[in-house]
Amino acid sequence: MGCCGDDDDDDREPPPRTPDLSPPPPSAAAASSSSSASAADDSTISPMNSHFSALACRDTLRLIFEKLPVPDLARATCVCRIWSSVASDRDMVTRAFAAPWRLKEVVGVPSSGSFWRDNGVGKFAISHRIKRGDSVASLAVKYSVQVMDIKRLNNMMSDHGIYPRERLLIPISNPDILIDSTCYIERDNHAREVAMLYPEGVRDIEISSLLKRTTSEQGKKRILDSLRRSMQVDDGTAQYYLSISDGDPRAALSEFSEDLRWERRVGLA
Amino acid sequence: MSSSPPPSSAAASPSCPKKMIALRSSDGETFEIEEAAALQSKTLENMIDEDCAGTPIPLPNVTGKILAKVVEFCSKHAEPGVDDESLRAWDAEFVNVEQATVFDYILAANFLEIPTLLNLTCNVVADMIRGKTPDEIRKFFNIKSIFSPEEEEEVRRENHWAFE
Repeated sequence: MGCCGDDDDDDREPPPRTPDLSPPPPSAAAASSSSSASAADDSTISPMNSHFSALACRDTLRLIFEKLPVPDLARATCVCRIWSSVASDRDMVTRAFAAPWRLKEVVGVPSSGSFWRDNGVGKFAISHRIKRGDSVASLAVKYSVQVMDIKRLNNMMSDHGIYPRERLLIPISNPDILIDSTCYIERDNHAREVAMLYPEGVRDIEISSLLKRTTSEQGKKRILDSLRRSMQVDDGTAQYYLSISDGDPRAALSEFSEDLRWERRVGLA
Repeated sequence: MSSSPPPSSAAASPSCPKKMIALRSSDGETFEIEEAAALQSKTLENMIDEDCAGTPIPLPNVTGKILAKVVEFCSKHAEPGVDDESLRAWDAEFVNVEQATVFDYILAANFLEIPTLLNLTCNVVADMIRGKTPDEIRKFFNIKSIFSPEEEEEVRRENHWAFE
């Protein structure tokens, strides 16, 4: 059945011993004066009540949380450790984030879990690749938004041309455009993390620059580690190849193999 | 009434009218449930074998008190010709019980894999959670928060949206 992931206490017949949810920290918060909590059970949820094993069981918590919208899920995260763990699970937060907009998928790793806790329409933007003939005014018409909003979103202080830019970010006026779409987590021009929509789909070039931009410190470390493992070299060497390939692990690996091949050819390795 | 039960009891068996399945709760009570109703439970569906008059299926994780209600639920939901609205009203009455019982239903429905009951009861609990602050949730369900002050601070910071 695979329930109660935290502990192997399967006993659910009353009166059961409720499972230990976490090791009692030395500064155990005996704050809430729950009526008849036995002294030794400070670390368990309401030891006198059998039914609380339903609230300590990851499976059932997941089923319950699946019904919660984003703000309630966020508050559930603050209740206790196991709730926090289940409510912060990537699948769970993505589902809650995507549900009201009927998104298909959200791609990318945000720098903080707080990204998922607000899914208002302002969290989304359209990435419009600039084509010849585009102007802020024409785009405002095309996407049914205000010129001012486009300018604000793109940090356009003056009325200079848009052509040095590759793209403009457009706010969402009609949420229907989000239905069944894939959004990419990126930073906008104000370094806010937003969910970006690419109406014409995402090209390879955009994907790799997306990967670069959304990669957090943790993500970078992961890429470095896996590169180091596949090349079987030390940190410094892996770092070097990553840097000369502009952060792209695939390119780093091929550079490295090139060099290795050359070294063998000239008898150095 | 046919003399021998049909080979596959997973499908509805018209030749064996009102085939009853016997269930035994953790505290030794025995309950009878129609096969059609029992099939609402994936667990029971897997356990039901070809023997019409088999020995009672033991359910060590469910007490008699709860099993009685679960049988009632499954029987109601297997009834033909009940319109959606009255079924919904019946469901609402069914879960109009105290907190402890709702949780017992959840555990039983989870163990017995009854999607309808699980969905219904989890919705009830979700409704209890909606709109409450973490403190209120803790008070309502009698949960002790075991965050350290630092953890609590970090968790609140990450979720500040929910408090605005």
